Amino acid sequence: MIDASDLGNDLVRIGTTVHVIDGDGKKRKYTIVGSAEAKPSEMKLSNESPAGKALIGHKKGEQVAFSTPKGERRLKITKIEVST
Amino acid sequence: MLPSGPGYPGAADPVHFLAHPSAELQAAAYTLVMVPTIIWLASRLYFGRAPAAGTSSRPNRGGRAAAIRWGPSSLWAPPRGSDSDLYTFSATLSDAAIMPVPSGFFSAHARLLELMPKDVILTPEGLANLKAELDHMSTTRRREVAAASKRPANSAISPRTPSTTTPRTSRPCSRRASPSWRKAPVCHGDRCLRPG
Repeated sequence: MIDASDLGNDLVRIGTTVHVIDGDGKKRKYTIVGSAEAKPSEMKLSNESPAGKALIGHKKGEQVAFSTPKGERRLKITKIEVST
Repeated sequence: MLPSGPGYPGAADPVHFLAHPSAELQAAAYTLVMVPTIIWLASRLYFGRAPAAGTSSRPNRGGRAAAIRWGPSSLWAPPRGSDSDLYTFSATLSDAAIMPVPSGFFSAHARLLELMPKDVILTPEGLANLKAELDHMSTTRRREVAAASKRPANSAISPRTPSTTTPRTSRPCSRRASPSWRKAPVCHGDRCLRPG
C-alpha cells in the first residue's frame, strides 16, 4: 500500500489528477488509475492506456505525444494534483 | 602431457601448435563452445514450449508423435509447398497418446508464473469502492440470493393456472397422452376434447 500523497505532485503517477490542454486547445482533467478501475467516461485513464502511459513520469509544463486510432495526439500538462 | 608454458614455440611452429594445443588454448576453446551451448540448452529447458498433443497447427501425419519443435522457428518452419515432415523432428518410438510432448523441466513452472495474477494497482478510492462492494455482496446481496434460491424453481416456468393444470391432472381416459402435454386431450368424464 503506497500513499500517493507521500510521493509529491511533481510527477504524474498513478492516483494523480492531471490537467492538460490538448491539440485543439481544450482543457481536460484526467485521473490516472489502475486498469481495474479505469473509466474513460469519468475521465479515469488506465495506466496501461496510451494516454496514461504517455503521461506517467512527466512533469508540469511538459508536452507528451501518443498515437491513437485517430492519429497522433499531443497533450500539454498544465497542473498535477494528488488525489486524496 | 600436453606441452605448455612460456617456452612453448606456438608462434614459431603453427602446425605443431595446432596439433598439440596448450591447456590455455583448450580452456579458451572449451569456454567459447561449451558455455554458449550450455546457456542455450538451459534456456531451452526453462523456456522450451512445445505445442501440446493435438494442438499442433499442422496435421499429425501417420500416427506419429506430435512434433517436437525446439529452437528458433526458422529451423523447423517449412517453406511453403514443401513436405513439412522433412523439417520436423518426429518421435517414432511411441505414439503421441502415450508419450507426451517434452516441453522442458521448468516449463510448468514458467506456465504457472504466467497464470499467476499480476499485481492489481488500485487507488485508495478504488480500494474503498471494492471493499464496499464486497461488504454489500457478503451481507445484503447474500441474503437476497439465499431467499431467491429457496423459492421453487419451476414456478416461473409453468405457472399453475387452469389451462396448465387441467391437462396434467385430469386424464381418466385410456388414450395414450401426447408426448407434449399441451397437445394432450382434455378429458371430462368419458368425453375427451383434443385441443386445437
